[in-house]
Amino acid sequence: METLLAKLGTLWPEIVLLMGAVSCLATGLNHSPFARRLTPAVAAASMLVAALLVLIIPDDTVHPLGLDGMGWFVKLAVLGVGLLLLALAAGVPDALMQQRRTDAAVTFDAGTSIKGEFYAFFLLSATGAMLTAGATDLVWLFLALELVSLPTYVMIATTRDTAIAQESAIKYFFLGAMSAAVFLYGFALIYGATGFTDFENIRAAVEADGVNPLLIVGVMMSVLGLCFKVAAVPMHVYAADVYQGAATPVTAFLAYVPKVAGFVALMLVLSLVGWPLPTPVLALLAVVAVLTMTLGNLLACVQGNLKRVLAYSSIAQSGYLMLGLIAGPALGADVEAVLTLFGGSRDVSQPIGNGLAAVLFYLPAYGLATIAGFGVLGVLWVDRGENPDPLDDEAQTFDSISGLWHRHPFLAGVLLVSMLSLVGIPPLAGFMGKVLLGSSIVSAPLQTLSYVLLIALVINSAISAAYYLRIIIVAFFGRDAEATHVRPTPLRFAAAAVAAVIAFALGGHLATPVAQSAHEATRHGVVKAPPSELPEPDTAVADAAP
Amino acid sequence: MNLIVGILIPLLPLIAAALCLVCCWKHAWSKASWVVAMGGVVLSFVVSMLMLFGGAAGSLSVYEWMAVGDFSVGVRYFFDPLTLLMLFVVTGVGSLIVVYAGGYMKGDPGYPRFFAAVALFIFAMTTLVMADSLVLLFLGWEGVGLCSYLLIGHYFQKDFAVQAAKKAFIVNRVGDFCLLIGLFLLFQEYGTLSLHGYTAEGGAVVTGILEQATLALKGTNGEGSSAAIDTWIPMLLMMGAFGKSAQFPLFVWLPDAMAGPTPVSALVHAATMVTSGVYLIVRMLPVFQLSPCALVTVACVGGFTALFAATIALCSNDLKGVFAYSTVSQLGYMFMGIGAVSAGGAIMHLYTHAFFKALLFLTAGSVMHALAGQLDIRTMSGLRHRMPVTAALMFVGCLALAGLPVLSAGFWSKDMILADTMAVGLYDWRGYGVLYQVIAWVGIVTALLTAFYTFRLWFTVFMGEERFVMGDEHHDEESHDTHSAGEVEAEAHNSEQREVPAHHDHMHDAPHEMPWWPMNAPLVLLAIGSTVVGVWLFGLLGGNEKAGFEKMTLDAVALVEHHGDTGHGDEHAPLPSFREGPGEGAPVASDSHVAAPHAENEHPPLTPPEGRGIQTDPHAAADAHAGHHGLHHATFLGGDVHVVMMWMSGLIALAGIAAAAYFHWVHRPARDAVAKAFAPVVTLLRNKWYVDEIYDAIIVQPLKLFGQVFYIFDALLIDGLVKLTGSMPRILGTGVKPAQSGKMQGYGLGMALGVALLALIVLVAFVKGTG
Repeated sequence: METLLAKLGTLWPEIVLLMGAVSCLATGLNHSPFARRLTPAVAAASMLVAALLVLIIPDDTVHPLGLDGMGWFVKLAVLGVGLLLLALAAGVPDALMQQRRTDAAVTFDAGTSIKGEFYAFFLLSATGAMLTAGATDLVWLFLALELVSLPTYVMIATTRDTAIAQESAIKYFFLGAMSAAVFLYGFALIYGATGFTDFENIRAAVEADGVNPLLIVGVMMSVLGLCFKVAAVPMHVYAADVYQGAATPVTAFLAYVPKVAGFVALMLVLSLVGWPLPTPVLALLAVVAVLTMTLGNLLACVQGNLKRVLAYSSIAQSGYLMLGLIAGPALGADVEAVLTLFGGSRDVSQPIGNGLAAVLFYLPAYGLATIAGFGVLGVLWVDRGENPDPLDDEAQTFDSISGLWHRHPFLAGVLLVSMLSLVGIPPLAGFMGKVLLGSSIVSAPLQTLSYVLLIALVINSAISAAYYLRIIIVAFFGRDAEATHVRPTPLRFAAAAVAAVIAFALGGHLATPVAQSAHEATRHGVVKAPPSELPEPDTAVADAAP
Repeated sequence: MNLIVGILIPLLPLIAAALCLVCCWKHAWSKASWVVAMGGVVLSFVVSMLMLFGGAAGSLSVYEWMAVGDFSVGVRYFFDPLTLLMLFVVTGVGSLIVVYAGGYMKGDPGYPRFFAAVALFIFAMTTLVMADSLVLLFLGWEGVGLCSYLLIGHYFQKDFAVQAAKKAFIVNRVGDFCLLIGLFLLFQEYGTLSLHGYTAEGGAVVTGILEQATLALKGTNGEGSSAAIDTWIPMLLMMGAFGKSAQFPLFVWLPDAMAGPTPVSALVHAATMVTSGVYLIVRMLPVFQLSPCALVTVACVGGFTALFAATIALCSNDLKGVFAYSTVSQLGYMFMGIGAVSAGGAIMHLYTHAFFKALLFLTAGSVMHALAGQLDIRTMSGLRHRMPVTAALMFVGCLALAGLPVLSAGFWSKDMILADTMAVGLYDWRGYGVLYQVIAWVGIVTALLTAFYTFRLWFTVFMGEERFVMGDEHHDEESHDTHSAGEVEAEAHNSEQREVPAHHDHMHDAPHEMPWWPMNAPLVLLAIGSTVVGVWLFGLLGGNEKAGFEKMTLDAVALVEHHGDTGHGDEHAPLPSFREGPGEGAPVASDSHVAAPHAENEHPPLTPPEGRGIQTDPHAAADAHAGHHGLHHATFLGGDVHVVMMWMSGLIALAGIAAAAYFHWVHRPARDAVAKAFAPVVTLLRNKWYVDEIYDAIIVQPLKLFGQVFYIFDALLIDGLVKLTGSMPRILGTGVKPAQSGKMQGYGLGMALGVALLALIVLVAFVKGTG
């Protein structure tokens, strides 16, 4: 009982968000139009309070897997970027025909208003992501992950006046359920292998008995299932359709929040076996990473729809992030070599070489760039005249952003920053993220595999430049698209612009402190043994083993 | 003096550049851009001078971008006498040229664009010379390259200007690529890219490249390291320097770069940017000294380029072309000087050259301006009556370039290089004695050629009977590149005529003198700097052997030159007293003994290994300080080498001027007779040794061929692949999509198959791993 109370004490930010979600339902379904208009403000306020609580409440709990500060870091990343997402999404329900009718009606019918649900689900999903970061038990982890996903199905289905939205929500739902089955099966196997569901005991069992094949299969199934959350091969198939079908601000949400939750969950699951990873898991992750980035980039090159391009881009970025997971906290002997290369003796207080820190750094970096990109698309709308397209008025095609520079130079500038950060051009956040990812994979004790993965990262970055730059070229040098207009949503524009500015800052002045705190959060991650004491290395690395 | 003020030096021009761009917005504002740029650059000059006379020294960390352990990338400036002297040249000469350009560019449609690029250039160039980290230096290096590209292509509607800009950019790419690899190797070898040591934010102490190289050099007893990487690094850096400073084989872009407006030729392609290669090598001198053969290579290339370019200048008939090749040639002298470990001579020549070459280009610009873009000197004669001030100013510049003894600045700097090279040769330094002697002789021959071609131009243009042809669309066919440059400049003038009625009569009336403000007044200052006054100023600014950058370079040099059995500095050359700095009347010999203990105290941390460590040898240090680098006590042709060389180069210069006067002023028919006698040589030289054609045949054409092959490859294979990939989803889609509802099941199936497939892969890996 005492531990439960202690646990609850650390959950205040999540509790505040839940309270916010309930309040949103109350205001969103309120008779008074004023209260209804207040709903997004309520959501924002609860997120702000939650963020403040995260900052204030000292997090001195000892994480069973050594990821002491990860919860703190991820919660802030979710809440901070989440506020931008909220600014982007504010007003989405108001534009819907159903909501407009409800608001215009003489007598208010709460049954037809969807305003409350939208913001409430938004907050619930964010709560789920935060709970994932704080998970100390497989059951909790599973529930938190489901809390992330379930509200998003509704958000997709209800926020666009087209049939595609419903279609993609259904797809997302069924495929998501299938993936949940896969990773739940994995969790069950982990339980079967160790006899525990809480991380501390699993860890103790693994340390006592070593890694048995059942545990490995369990971890692998969990990884494969979680690939759905991060949109990685082979669970990536839904991404393009769903991203295209959802309203653009919701797409931005889908591209960030479930991905954060997914990567955090992957980190936790992999921590159960510890780094260096057992060969089968390593092989799985390496194959998934390379396939994901390559497939994502190649398919992004051939898309004609911008939202699909960004969907595949998001898939490819997941592939890059996988490298950090493969490297792990990576305190191997090779770290020393890399640090020497960077001009110093071995100094584990630096984030270089820590793959988990790289993942934590890269997630907000990627999120900001993606938000800026989707934000620009969300600000634009296309006048399709008398003949409304089934794609309604969303700006989705290359034509719709053609020549954006001539009429809306600021929007084009935001788009430019966003795309360059996604390519990884210095001094933007994406560059720093890739530097951290790349150096962590090089310093991981994987011999040849390190370099294979690094080369894959570099080649894929080059490929990705093709489609990112294509977007820029169209926006800057294309013929002016007459039919494209700007929505009167200053908040949405501000969110995109702020995201772009932070992307700058994160590549510049903020880079060192953020990377440092990501490192502090993960530096005590589970490392089984120094490589010198490793048992005979297995296949993947056998050829280069000492 | 608070170093933080130093931020303003690059910052003010940067702000000015931004404001100039704002001026592009509205036509009415464009006039303000000149004032803005001038303000930025002049203020930057003022700050530089404040720092110089405030005795600024040390490093200044402005911004730390990325710090990983001991490795950090950020903006860190370093001030020492060398940097401050370079800042004087860049911002001082820059200010004068910006003032002049205000008059010269008047009426140009790209007026604000021009000044934005110029201010940006000053920003990049000051960054380059102030950078303490080679990363920042490289940033400045690329920045000046970009500005050079923008400014050469200022008349971008003209095809040849675009071609010239591209040529400059691409040729520089070759050098920059080498430089970049050199930087990588430096990082690998030294573990840092910082030139000087500093304490990082975390408290870690980083030893800079220069300190490490100096220490390594002392370890080798001044003989240079035999490790291959210690030669590769300077060789690669050298290629970068050669690209930027237009040395053989990468000099081809500079003559074409004259397609830019004349103030740009003066600022970027004569006075400042092209000397950044010289600066780089002087800055990195210990790294170069560490290699046994890098410096002699620098000297050889410099000597060869000096002679080679001088021969081309000899027969060029293009007003700006002569000066362009002369720039290449003078830069060759500077490299010759560095190669002979005479960093002082190289920097002094850099400094004097900045003055007189800027002066020459700007006066040439005035002539062009007056003649509506005419560039062919064969059409000009006796212009001294029309343009007396310009004639006088250019005369001063020509005297400096030719090296008129005692009175001109060029004489002193060129002599220092020649004498030091000869001295090093006689000393048989590192066993390359003969080579250095040959180079010194090449330098002397080049001095003769220089004096001749310089005055050939001046006598032809300003002396004799008055004759001129105004520039227009009609030009001779011979000098292809430059005649089009004339066209462009003429165009600029045409537009000026439309907008400024005062200049209306350019085209059809006689040429006239330029106005004092803003055009001739700055030239007068440049002319003063081109005389012996400039040399005095040099001593004042830091050429002082006891305090300024010369002492700095001498300290560096002293590390290499272990002293032989020659006596100490009591028989060195009677250098002119102003080189000792103002009020320094004492004979140099006596203060050499004073300098010795001083030098010992200079580097307490650098304890040399036992043996013939230089710093511990008071004689060596003393000699290094007293003379130029302690090598020049050798006798040459029966006298002290410095004295003899001074006489020789003085006489040579006079001989060249006299010959030019005879052939091009007094008795012009003789010129034609000689030209006829040497017709094939003249043709060869007029065609610039066919270097462009040779490059075209061996580099450009094969590359084009490659390009075509790859294009076909690209069109067939890559495009095919891309199209195939593009149609894949559609093919797959049509295959998997019998109905809309089937799609999701397809996805589910795909996911399940993917899981199965990956499980299989892992199983195989697992089985192989365990069994």
